[in-house]
Amino acid sequence: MKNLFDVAGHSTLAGASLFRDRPAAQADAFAVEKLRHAGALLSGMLNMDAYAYGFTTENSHYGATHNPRDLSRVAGGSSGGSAAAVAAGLVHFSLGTDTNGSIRVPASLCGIFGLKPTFGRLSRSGSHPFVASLDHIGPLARRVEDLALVYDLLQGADHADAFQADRPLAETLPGLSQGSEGLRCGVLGGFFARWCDEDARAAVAAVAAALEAQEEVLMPEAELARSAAFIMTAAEGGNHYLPALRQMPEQFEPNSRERLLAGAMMPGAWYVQAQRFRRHFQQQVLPLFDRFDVLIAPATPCSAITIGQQTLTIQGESLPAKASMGMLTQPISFLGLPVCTVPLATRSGLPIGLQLIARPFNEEAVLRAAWALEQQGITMPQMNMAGA
Amino acid sequence: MRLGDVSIQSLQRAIQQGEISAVEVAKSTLQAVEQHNPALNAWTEVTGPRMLKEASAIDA
Repeated sequence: MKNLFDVAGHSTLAGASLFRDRPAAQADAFAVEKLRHAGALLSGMLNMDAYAYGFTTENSHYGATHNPRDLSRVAGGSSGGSAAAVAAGLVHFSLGTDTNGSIRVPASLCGIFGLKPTFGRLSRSGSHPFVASLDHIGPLARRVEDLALVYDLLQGADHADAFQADRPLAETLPGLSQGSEGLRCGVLGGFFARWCDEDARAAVAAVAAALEAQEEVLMPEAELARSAAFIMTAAEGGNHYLPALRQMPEQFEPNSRERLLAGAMMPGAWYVQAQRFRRHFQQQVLPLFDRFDVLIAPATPCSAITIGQQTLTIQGESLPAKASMGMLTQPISFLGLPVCTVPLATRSGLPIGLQLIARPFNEEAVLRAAWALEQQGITMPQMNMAGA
Repeated sequence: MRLGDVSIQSLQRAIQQGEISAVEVAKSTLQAVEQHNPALNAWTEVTGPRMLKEASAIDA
């Protein structure tokens, strides 16, 4: 699991050398305990961007995680170790967290399946927080059956988590084999079609054809949603780390120190506006699900960039590489919607992931659609570094 | 059997039917992690003793 979940007897690092002298956790995180009880075997803790702030897992202290599909490339982040471990075939599944795309981006770049459940669906108790208003936990896996199985095991009421939604258990594994039958699918256009490359567009077209999604749908103000997610992330993350930033700024990840500081000093009015816009945006978008069960969009603008790459070019525009990897996931987590990412192969042989998005608490729809794509052979085959 | 090529439920059935033990699964996983993690840098810490203990409890 990503090394921000508590494991009894070990220090929870959250990818940060800042925490290396922290006392060991007294107990397992809620999710870890659930899995242990179900018979899962814990192999260890996985690399991540420090504080879960980043989309590439280029950690200055613990090193970059390498993408098993091409070792010169990033694994994505911030749950990069979680995605690489699964993609390499060394474990069946892993746990990650997703605030702005941190499960979906690495799943996309490493070519595996990832589930970011509805905001509030799964307990976060015992996981190191980053942005309380946006943090989710979720599984990454090599096949949809495993993803659904682990998601089902992670469900359960936890009164210690004030953010958890009061919802009954809803197992997804029994319904998987219904596939996409009866699911009304559409393609997200506008912002989501604009900010991606030809490979991502080809992948969307292939999945749209397989899921009989004929209509393109607009999510108005998606760009503004991304900005609002940035503001909430910087403000809450900055607030969380301000005491430590004041005391020992030299111990911070250089990739994040200045943006955490900037977030801590941001005008309060910006944060209030971002929260206000969130409610407005939800009210604009949720009616789309009266007509559609599943919406399709790319998870990343392009396939994995190389380690150390600073810029990428999308539609002729040069963009900052690290931040832009999450531009298509941020508006969706800002809404709190459940998303399953599915991997497709591109012409270069590298994977790219697509987001299958549903109304809140309809995880089953996205998992069924993903299962249908896997069964049809639309998704990319899994690789395996482990010997026979 | 390459463990990653079978589903979790298939592996559970294989363990229940005695085709493979949980300890064998744990050992094989730890060996593969040791072999491949230097190239990946995915694991920051390997919990080998805990994994073997969890596996022994399943086999018991």
